Amino acid sequence: MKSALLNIALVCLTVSAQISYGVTGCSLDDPDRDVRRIFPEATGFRTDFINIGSKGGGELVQRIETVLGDKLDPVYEGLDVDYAFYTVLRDKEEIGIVHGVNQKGKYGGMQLIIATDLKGVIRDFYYQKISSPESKKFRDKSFTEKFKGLTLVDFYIYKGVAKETDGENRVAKISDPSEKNAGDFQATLRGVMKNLILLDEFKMDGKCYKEYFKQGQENENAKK
Amino acid sequence: MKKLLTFCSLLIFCAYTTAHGASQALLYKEINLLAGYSDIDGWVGEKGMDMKNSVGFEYFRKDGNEFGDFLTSDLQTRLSYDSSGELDEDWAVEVHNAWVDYKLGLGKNLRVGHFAPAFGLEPVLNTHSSLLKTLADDDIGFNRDWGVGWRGGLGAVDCQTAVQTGSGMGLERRDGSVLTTARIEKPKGATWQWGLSGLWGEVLESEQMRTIPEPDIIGSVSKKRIGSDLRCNAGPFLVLGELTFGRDDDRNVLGALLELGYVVPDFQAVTMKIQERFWSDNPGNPDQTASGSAFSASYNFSSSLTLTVGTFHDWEKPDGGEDTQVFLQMYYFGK
Repeated sequence: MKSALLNIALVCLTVSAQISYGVTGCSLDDPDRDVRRIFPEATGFRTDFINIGSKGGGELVQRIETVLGDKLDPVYEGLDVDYAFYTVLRDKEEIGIVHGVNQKGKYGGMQLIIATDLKGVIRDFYYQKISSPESKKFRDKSFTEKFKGLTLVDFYIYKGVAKETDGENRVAKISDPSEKNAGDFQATLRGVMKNLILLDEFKMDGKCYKEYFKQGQENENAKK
Repeated sequence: MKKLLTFCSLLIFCAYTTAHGASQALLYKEINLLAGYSDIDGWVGEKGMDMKNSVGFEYFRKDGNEFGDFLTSDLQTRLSYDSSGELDEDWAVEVHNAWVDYKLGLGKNLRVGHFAPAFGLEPVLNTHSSLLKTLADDDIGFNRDWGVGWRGGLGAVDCQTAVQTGSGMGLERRDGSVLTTARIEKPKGATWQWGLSGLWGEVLESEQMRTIPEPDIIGSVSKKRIGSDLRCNAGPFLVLGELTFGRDDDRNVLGALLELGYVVPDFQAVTMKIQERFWSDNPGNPDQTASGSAFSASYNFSSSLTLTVGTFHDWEKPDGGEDTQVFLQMYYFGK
């Protein structure tokens, strides 16, 4: 018994002598299978847990809400929700990022996963979970593949907030695959845009916001 | 068992010291407050052996190097209080998860420690905080055990297998006690998911479900099972089903579970569940058959705090009686 307690104490001691974070958001159910499917050349991945609270708190929330054009939901999108970012590796070389978000849909929570290259260009998009009576249509590749090649700038153009407005409005060309669930389609667009915003803020130092969001540069200058 | 724990401790220590600082960790605190009323027992403060008033934590961690993550570890434990007064100790330490997962390659993982056997819905669902449970407790007697497991992809399906000590939450093992399980399943993420699993072993039976103090072992049972399970997410509904058949020593056993979950579309903080379950230690003999219905409604105050009301009715208990229970649960899981 004493020996067993000592062993438990050793495990606890080893485990507790490290950093800690908080509540987790949408992580991949099976990251190994997903990473291997999207990046066949991958040999591994590295996981980072990042939350809005530790990256800027209330100020960052305001910035995200301004870009998104909507309020963040306190249940799904709180300050302490840790987002899991999977940096995909081929040996030691970084070749992409996979990241998921929770998004409130018409009938319940959705889990939207995007895989991008290192510049934030979508390489793959899929629903890990979708609570919609027309989920089959949303999951169909003929719909999800329309997101391939999009970046956050495309969503800025779609929302009419991009600094450079001469770009093609590619998001507007994506049509709702459902017949009666436009709410889930709109939720999908919001979720993918939020996903790209978080990717920009957490992994790319807000580069897209500073360069392409029309108020971004002014806000940055005002700060200085 | 002690050798296994020593091996686990050394493995974690070696892995952590070679992780070159590339580690990420999450720490959650957990509080489970539970109160209920039973027609037979009156006021109660626990539901079954594994749902008591408790405080605890979960520490989840990933370690890696320049080639990526290679080790995932999880420690989830709680200090529980037995309000029934029937046990020899009121307070106990319950270890729920205590495992390390070593990546043998992309899609191949070796797991060592205390984790869910590869059988039935439990390794997919984790009903740790839920009033509504899977058939694991009826089938095996516990939902976590100490041992070694392997998980990986096998073509279009995922598979996992485990060899465990058959002791459940307790650390003690007896000669001959063992639990071997295997499961194949459709990969997670699809609307429809299915699983097929089997188990074989000599499993210890304990009077308590706890790690410290050591539970009192009252015997062992030879178990053989095959099982199938199903999950389907359709709109706001989540359907779960589980069917299991096999032998305990020299008698047949049969179990079935069906659960329907519903998220209220216009008020998504509310989830309702209905569950029907059936278990027989000797199909065809009503004296050894139990069946029950349950309903629960949960309200999420936030991503960390949930209030649940549950009612349970045992239509048929092994002793022939009926019982209705009502529970109120406040569950916190967060920073």
